[in-house]
Amino acid sequence: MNDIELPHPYRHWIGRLSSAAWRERKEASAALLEQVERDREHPGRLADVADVLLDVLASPEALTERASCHEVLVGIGTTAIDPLLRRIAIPGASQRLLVDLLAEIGKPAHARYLHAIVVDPHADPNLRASAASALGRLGGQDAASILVGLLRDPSEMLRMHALDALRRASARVEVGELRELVAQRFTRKAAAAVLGHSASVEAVDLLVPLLDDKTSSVRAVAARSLVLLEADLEPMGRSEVVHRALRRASGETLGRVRELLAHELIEVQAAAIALCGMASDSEMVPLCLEVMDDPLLHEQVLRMVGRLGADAPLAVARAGDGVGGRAREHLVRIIGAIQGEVGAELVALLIGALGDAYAEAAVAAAEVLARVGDRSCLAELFRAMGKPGVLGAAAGDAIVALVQHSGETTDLDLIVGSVWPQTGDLAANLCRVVGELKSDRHAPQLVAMLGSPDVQVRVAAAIALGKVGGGHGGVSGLSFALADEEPEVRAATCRSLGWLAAPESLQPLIGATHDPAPSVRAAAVQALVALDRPTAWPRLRSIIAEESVFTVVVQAIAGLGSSELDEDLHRLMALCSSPEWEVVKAAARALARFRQHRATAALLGLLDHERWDVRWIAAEVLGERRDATALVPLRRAVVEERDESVQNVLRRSIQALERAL
Amino acid sequence: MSSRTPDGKPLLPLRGEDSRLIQELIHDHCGLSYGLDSEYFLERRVGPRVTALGLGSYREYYHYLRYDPSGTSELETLVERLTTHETYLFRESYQLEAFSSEIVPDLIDRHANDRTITVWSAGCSTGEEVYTLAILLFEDDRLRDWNVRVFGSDISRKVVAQARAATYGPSSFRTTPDSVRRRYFSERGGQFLVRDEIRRMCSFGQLNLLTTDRFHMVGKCDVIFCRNVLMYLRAEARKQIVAGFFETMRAGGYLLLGHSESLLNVTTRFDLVHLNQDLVYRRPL
Repeated sequence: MNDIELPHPYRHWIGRLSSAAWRERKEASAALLEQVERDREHPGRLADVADVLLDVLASPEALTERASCHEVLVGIGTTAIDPLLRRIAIPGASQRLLVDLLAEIGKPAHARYLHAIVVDPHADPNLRASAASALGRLGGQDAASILVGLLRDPSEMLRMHALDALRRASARVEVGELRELVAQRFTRKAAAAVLGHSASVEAVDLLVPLLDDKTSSVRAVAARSLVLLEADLEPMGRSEVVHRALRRASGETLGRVRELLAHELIEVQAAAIALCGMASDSEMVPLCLEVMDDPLLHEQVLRMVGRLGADAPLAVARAGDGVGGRAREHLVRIIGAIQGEVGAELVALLIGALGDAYAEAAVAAAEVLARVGDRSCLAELFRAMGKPGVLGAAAGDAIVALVQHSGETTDLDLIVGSVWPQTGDLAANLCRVVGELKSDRHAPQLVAMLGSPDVQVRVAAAIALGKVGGGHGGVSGLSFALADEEPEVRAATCRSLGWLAAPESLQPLIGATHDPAPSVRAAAVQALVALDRPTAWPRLRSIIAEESVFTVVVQAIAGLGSSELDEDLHRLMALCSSPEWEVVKAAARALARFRQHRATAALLGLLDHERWDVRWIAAEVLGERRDATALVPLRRAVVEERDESVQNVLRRSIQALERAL
Repeated sequence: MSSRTPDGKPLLPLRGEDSRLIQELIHDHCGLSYGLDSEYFLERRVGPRVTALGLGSYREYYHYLRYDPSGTSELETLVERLTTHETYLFRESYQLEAFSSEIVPDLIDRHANDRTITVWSAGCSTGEEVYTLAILLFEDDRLRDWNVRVFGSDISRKVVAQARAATYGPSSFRTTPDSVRRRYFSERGGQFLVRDEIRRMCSFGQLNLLTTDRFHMVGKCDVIFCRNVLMYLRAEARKQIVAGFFETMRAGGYLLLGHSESLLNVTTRFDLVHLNQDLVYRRPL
């Protein structure tokens, strides 16, 4: 025992850890953890606490308090590592507890402290097993090397622990090291799991036969490993090896893979679907309809269907018999995932689904027809375009896609006709169609629609006028719409004026930045920024100073990016210390085009920001600015940066600056 | 559905900073992490929402989620697109057996005075588990005149509405004995509606499990089923939710997790109880 004198609360609660009553021990550990959180700024004190707790943990008499001690030490975290490492090599009953603790709070660099324990043939096998598991949790190259050595240990139990740890660490192990372990029944499943991380084509021939293994859990692990393997081989251009092996698999093997769709783990279900895709096994399609309510499996099924090739349409048509409700929506989505021609039978099925009582199926059918339909579908889609909500809009989108695809402008005239309804879904969707097809011939109708009594029609007409393009007199019509009583119409009008980029839009848009509705102000500022006119800068500056809605401010800041004036540089530098980090990011982005060195200094200051995304943007912009004076601070920052993604951005920026030198 | 900006251009891929920011918001909202590391999956699910709102980029969508007054409701819609998990009636029979033959008798002994049992299915999806539990409780003659409630909650409004509708297709009955289906469901056009006597025992609500301060609306529970939910969440979220469960339970209440889930590294406040059919957690008496 050491002589460390801890503050009273610690002494009190550590003493209570030995209470006979479970509830009191729990109360003590909770109180200690609270105290630890309060003392985070005093690592020295926490190290002393850890020292005392480690002594308690190591004491052979302290059986009752062990679990609570462990819990508090985990709460202390990395500060407890040094005192822990001073004790871990000392043999004794507590050594295993220390190994378990290191697994929870240690880092990959601590693997070497477990090496001696793992390789000692005279050590307690349970201690060695714990050390192996701990290595798996620590991860890293050192841990993997030690664990691979353990795979040759005479003890089956230790080999098993080593495999589990290697899997946990996602370690890349030579296939030769695993071959024998796959052959042994006891270690087969664990070895198959490790093979999944091997990134070696040699693993394929070991894993595919395991899909027929007598034990279902081995089959499940083999399926998951093959999927992991294929993903790792893909960047090397070798994933085809897995596909070929699966295409050669017997009908019985594929049947067993399909059975995995009923597995209770979603990862195994997803793997089964993926493998059937790789094997071009179209018999999986009807079975998948039952699991597609799950979004992850849904996407996996669509990927699979995309891989089936020419067999897909027939398989999907067969699966469609008697399917209703939600499954019908899934079926429609599957049709949309087919690569290449889907055939008349499936197109007919889609047209039928436009009238499906299950609304989502009808919407899906319209969306899929946009991709796979042809001119013969236009009449049915026109009818669907009059339906309320998402279905009408989706049918309109499909018409746009089909007319664009056919290139026949007469199709548009047939659909649009000469007399439009003034209100309702059909009118709104007609506006959308005309806008998407950029038909300036219909601009007069769109301007007329700005006077519709139906708000959704006015919104659609305003958006459409922006898309149709310039030269149609729409700007004046849109300017009037800025006085519309509904904010949705005014916001849509601002966006359209921004797209049209007509000089006469400038003043109406500046006027719209005073709109009472934040959504309109944000849209107006966004449009002004797109126009990029110096005459808008004074208004943008006052918005930054006065506006209370962040989205509006963030848009306005972006608009000052091209001013390059000193006053704006000062403004943006001041915004870099805003408590709202989206404002800081917008200011950092805007500084990209300011050539003054002070902009670099301001951005370098953000490399210490508490938010990872602010540091990310600062690093990115520093790379874009090509100011070589940032190089040294960036190199320093990459060493100190703890976030991996930000590190990557910093490295890219360093490379960009080095190239520019 | 191809995702496009309001001026018709395809949305840029969801990558890097924007992807992580959206993931971060989802984590903070409900703790969900599973599947989000796949940018393909996330993009396929988020892209249509960006288009539907008429926004021009994933960054605008992130700003919408964070700053717009409708951001919270949009976050719910997004999470709905990411989390609806497939389930069926009488799933994981060994656990249901443990519930009927070991947990319920224990509760009957302990609650003989107040004659009340409350069961919560946390993350009930479309309600199959809730009705399964209600059927099992209804079949126990000893509970005839007891106040037995089964409450189902899910983060998704859509699935809660489906759960209330209490109508299921044939695939929901893959492990349900025919006799049970005949007794407790009435068929209408190939769909099966839960009978009124079972529905009366059940209630539903929309609940984000991270909002533990709202757990009081469930009342004190005797059993919480939270199967295959925690595994999709981040470690901190798991801890927070399980702490909430602990506070919501009556002493001696049971917590049942999915077969591949445990409270290891989550909490030590619960006792691990070895039943004949299953391992379950219990709030100490």
